[in-house]
Amino acid sequence: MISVFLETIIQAIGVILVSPLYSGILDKWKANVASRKGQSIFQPYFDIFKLLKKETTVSSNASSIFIYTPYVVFSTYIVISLVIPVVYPEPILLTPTVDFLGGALLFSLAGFLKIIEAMESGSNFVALGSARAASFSFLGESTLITVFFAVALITGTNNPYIEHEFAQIPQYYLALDHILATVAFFMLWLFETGKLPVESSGLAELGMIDDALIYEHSGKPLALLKWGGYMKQYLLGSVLLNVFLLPWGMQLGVLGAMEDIGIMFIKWLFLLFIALVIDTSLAKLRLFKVQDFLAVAFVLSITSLLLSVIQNA
Amino acid sequence: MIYFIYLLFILSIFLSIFEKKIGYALSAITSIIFVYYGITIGNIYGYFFIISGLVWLFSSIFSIFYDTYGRWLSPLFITSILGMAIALTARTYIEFLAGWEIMTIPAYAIIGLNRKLDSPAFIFMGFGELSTILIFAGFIYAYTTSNSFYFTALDTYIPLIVVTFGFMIKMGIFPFLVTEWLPIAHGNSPANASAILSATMTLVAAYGIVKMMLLSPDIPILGYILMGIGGFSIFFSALYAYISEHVKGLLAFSTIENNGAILSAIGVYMTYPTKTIAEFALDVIVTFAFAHSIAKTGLFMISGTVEGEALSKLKIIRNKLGEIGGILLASSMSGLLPNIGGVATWSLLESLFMEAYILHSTLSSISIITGSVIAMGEGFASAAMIKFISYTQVFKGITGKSAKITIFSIIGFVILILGSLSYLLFRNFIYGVPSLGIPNGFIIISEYSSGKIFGDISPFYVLILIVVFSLLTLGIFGKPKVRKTNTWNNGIKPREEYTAFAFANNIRLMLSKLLRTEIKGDSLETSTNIFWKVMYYIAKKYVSFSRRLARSYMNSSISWYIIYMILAFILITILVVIL
Repeated sequence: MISVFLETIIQAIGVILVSPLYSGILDKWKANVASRKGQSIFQPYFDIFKLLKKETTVSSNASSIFIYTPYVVFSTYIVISLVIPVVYPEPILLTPTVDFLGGALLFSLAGFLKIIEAMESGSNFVALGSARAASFSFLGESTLITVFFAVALITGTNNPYIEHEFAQIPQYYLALDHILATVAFFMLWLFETGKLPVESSGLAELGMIDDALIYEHSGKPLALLKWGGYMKQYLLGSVLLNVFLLPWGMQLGVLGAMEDIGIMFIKWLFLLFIALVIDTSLAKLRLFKVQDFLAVAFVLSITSLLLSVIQNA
Repeated sequence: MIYFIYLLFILSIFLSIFEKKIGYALSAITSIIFVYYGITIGNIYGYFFIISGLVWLFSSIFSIFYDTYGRWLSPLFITSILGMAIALTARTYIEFLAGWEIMTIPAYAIIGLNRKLDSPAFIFMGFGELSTILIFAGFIYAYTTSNSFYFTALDTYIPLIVVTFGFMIKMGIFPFLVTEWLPIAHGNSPANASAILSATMTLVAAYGIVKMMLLSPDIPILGYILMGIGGFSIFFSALYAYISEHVKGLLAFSTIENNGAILSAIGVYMTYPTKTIAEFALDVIVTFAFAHSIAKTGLFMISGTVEGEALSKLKIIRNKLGEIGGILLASSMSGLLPNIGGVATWSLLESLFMEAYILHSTLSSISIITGSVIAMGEGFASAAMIKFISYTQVFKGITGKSAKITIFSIIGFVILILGSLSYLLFRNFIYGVPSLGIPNGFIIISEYSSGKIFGDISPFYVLILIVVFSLLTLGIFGKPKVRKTNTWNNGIKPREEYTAFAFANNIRLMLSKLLRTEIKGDSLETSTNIFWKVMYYIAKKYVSFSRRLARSYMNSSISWYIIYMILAFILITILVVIL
């Protein structure tokens, strides 16, 4: 029981503490590719600490819902970190709280709360970003759900930890249905984490989706929303790595759990490298073309689902 | 006991003619008794009684503060409730039909008395009676095969097919979406009437299908058809809800979306992939009925607290309690945990994909495509609910207090608590993993056969964990030091707002072919509900064709009538020879 407890703590704390690092690394690499020295890989941490100390300015239209919902959004990502295999490959404490689909619904809950509390600022610009985020949700949410079910239809259970057992059969990862689901999920990861070719982080208002939602925030709520964003990127990316792309090499036991943080770091460098190549070689899509991008991901995930039942019929 | 309940409702009707508040109060008390009656029933039908009773209770209380529509709304409102009570508790086909008509006619009168246009009430009545004809036909066939007016087991599935399509029209299922949204939106139905029209009247229809389904033999093909129709209803109605500019029209479309979900779950039951999945699907039907009916009542109440009809031009009184209640209701309707709506969405998708897995054949593609379309619909539903709650409570408005806001806020918390009580609805699917910190009784599992667990969920733990971690986060990082300031609105005049209409414009443009979006001058025009446009076009063409036919060949010419008689004689002779 104590070992499970420690493994749980390592996974949750690992997600919370390590997640900003990967954004720092990607930003540093992007700067290097552009022949700039770039900021420190620890810059996201510096930003968070700076924001935590700052005063919070709040719109006169907003109530405490606007101020405290970021705490709930942050907590929702902590809950998700307990239920999917993002560090440790076996079920930990409270893992049965939700299955894969339940995890997808929790991501949707965090997204819903983020939009609603942003709208409370009463800012027209935030409303524009919210409208964009809401408009693309029909393809984003559905792809997340169908991709997760793609795993369920292959394995016969909606429990994501089953992938650890399937990792013993490498040829399963070369099956067409699995490859299609992986590509679909990777495309979704690019969308959900606001990466090119879907969205370019920065102040380019014409293409803003997710960044517009935090426009009116400052101080601690902004720090938590940004931190939550890093956690979301880590959670989705780690599911991509541990369930779809590279499930191998994970260690068991308390010491193994600590090693897993390092193993995940290596896996993440691989994912960040792919993201870097895409980010530095592709142009941003026009806003309405994002729908086409997501539609391709959705169709790939449905094709994967259909193949998984028809192939083995 | 049931006759006592009827009597109390009748008394409420009479009292409401003279003093409507007393009438509504007695109706609320009677609804509590009806809920108790549902609890004593102890089977699946009892759940429908509990849901209906709760909706009537909340709507009656709300009506006390809401009804400023003159003396006739209250008796008609309570009469409609009486009709639903009779239909729900009917033991015979005749009682059911009597209840069905007592429910429908006052609703027609409510829409007719509060009309801005004549057509919505007639359309409501027209489609309502079309549905009655089909239900009547199905019941007659059931009677001829069973020789009984009582709801008894049948050895043919034909009555089930006929009544199902009758009930589907009443539920506003694709392509009959107009039955639901037009009377509520264009008919300008009052918010309290809209709540029962949308929440329980369609629930009676779903109850009717379930009742006949449990009495009829298995018919998997109908199940697949219903599953598909349900899925497409969800997709289109959620899409139309999102682009709808009418405060109640949006909710009416959302009702169709929920009815589509209930129909899909009914479809899963009818296909009967395994006994375990069928039992699970029955629980899904009840859970969805709970989630939809109660939350929709609260959302219609929100529509009753605002002034105006167009979402972009509403006058809003808002407060924090109202916002929290509204957000809870909207999140449940978006299918999000830990509310009961989240449990309902999770269980529906699980049942569909379990079916796909267990069949593992080309037939699986039906449940996969239905599940995928539903997943897309859920995305639109979330967007629609975000838009609705933003423009009725959250985005702008004047801060104030109102008893009406308090009532729907209470319903919001009820919806949240119902999520954690949903274990009661899945009694055969309760589980626990004490070794991982969740004791027995706190997990709902989805199984495709005994012992074969597909997925699991613990709404209570989701709620508790989010609350605990939020408090921990607050404890660790502390409260922020807050300073209020005006919002920077990009240099435009503060009075100019990002409207609700603009909120859905991305979709209007991105799905312009599907929505028939046109840009005329400076404005966008969208055809909401193309199915109604097509039906309307066909009806107009038919009328014009009939008129031409009548003028040309039925113009009182004796020669033509002799030709008709000869043709009829030949036709009958041929039929007699063949048969």
